[in-house]
Amino acid sequence: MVDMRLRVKDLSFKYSTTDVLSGVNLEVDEHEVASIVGPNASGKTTLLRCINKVLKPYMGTVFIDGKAIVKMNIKELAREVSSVPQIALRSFPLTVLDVVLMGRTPYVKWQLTKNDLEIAEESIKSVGIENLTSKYFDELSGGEMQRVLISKAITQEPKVLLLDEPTAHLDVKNQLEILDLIRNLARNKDIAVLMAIHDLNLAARFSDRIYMIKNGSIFASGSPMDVLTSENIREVYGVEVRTIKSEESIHILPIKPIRSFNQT
Amino acid sequence: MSSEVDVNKLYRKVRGKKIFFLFILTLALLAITIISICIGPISISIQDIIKAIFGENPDENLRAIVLDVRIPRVLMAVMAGTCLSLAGVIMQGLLRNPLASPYVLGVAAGAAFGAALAVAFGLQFIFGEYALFMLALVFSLVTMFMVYGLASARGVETETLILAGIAIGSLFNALVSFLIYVSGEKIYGIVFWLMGGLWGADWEQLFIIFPVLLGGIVITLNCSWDLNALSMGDEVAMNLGINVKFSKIFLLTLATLLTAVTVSLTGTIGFIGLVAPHIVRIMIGSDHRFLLPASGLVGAMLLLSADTLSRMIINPAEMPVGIITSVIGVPFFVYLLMKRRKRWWI
Repeated sequence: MVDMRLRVKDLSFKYSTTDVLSGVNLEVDEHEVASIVGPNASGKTTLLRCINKVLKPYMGTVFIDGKAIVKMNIKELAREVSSVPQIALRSFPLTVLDVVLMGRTPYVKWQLTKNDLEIAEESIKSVGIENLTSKYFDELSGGEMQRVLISKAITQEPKVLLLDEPTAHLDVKNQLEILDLIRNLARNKDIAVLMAIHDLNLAARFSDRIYMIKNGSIFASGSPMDVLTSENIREVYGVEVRTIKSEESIHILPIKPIRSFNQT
Repeated sequence: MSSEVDVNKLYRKVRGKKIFFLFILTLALLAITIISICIGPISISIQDIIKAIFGENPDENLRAIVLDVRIPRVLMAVMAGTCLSLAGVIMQGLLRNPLASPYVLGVAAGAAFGAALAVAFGLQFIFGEYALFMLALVFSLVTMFMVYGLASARGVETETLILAGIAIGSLFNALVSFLIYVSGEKIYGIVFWLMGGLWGADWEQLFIIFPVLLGGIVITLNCSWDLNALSMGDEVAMNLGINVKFSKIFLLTLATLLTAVTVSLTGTIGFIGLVAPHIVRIMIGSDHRFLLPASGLVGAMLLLSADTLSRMIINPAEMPVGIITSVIGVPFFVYLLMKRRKRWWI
């Protein structure tokens, strides 16, 4: 059997005594975009943080190309997995180029080589931020910042790219452009992309695979058509929706919350 | 959108400018150093200085002034300024807080308490002049461990560190006030120490601070990439392959040592460690590979200029240098802040 690019097996995590994730199984192959959807506090961000080793699961394993991440040190992992975090970053004055080049941190000792600079240039072009390189990062708009952070993540030359709410705080056009960019990067650079995302319509349109989480367990997984059904959404979110299937995607229209719905 | 970009060229251009900036700073520091050796209650020309050091039959008085007073003092100002600035860069980067300074973890207050203790009990008369230095150093390290101890209960988070530093610092400040209150006139000397000054500088002190400074420079420069990543936040740094917990404790310890040794020798000289990094950030940005050496040079220049001024203003007496650093530094700093153009130079 050929190993999947990213495989999460029986992963469980708890904060002191509260179970956050229990028995999560998940797979993403190269070229693929997979989305984790689920209500607030269902464990989406925690799952991403277990994959990039910010948090330590108490059970289960994460494999990259068949290799368990517990066997990698943090520097080795940084060459395999890169992340675009959700938190709005405040920093001291750094130029966009500084931020993108930071992606080479897991590789350099002191001096950047010509190769490092070529990789950064390639990444800047693939993300389309050529005109921003000399600007200051903290003066950019939300959409520009997100592109720069993606460029930094790509400069890390990852096999797996994790994104936490990549479309938060973006306008409609930027949302579509960013997700389109992410999908193209997955296709062209052989990256496995896993993102946590709230917007079910965007998830439906840009994902190859969807994992729907409820209370820290996978409730349903598969293609958007199979997972984003009105029954599943009612069960997981407690919301009545109407779904409309079109040529390119499935569209979800929220109707109303269900009163008697109990999150647990 | 489709503008061309040549990262290699752009990177080399920017780096070239920054290296040139470092070069200019070095020249300026050299010039100020030479001027500072010449200036004092007695003005000495450069020829006389060279004669005094290397000459065949030097004037013994002149030789003593140059070699035992002026040069140690000038070198002390350069080294102390560099140490404080490096510590300031580390603290600001690690704590991601522009208000952070070498003193943010209460180290200075600890040192002050040690010094006050030595003076109050007259320990210099029993154990020699280094009793004050030793006690100041010991208590600044004690402070550091107390702050870490408190903060590590919550995983060495930035906010906890700053709050613990303020708390422990206040405690030691209160103890210093208590000592001053109960000791009466005897402790008058400590008030001068608290204001900070370089009049005690001699070769022995230089031999203490030099290895610390040298180690500090080598180690911090090697940690430049870690500091860059850490200044973007713990999680970003972790994703870039930095061992955050270890790096943080290691760098904080280093910054504390740099500060503790300096403060123990010179008293609390304020403002340099806060302002030098900011001046450099505004001029060449926050890439630590250049920010660290440039801040060191700027800090050295600031402290040296301030100290030289302090010797001139009410000649032949002198003002505590801490007063000068603030009086000159604050307006300049405010001007830079108001100007607010980050693209000030590069």
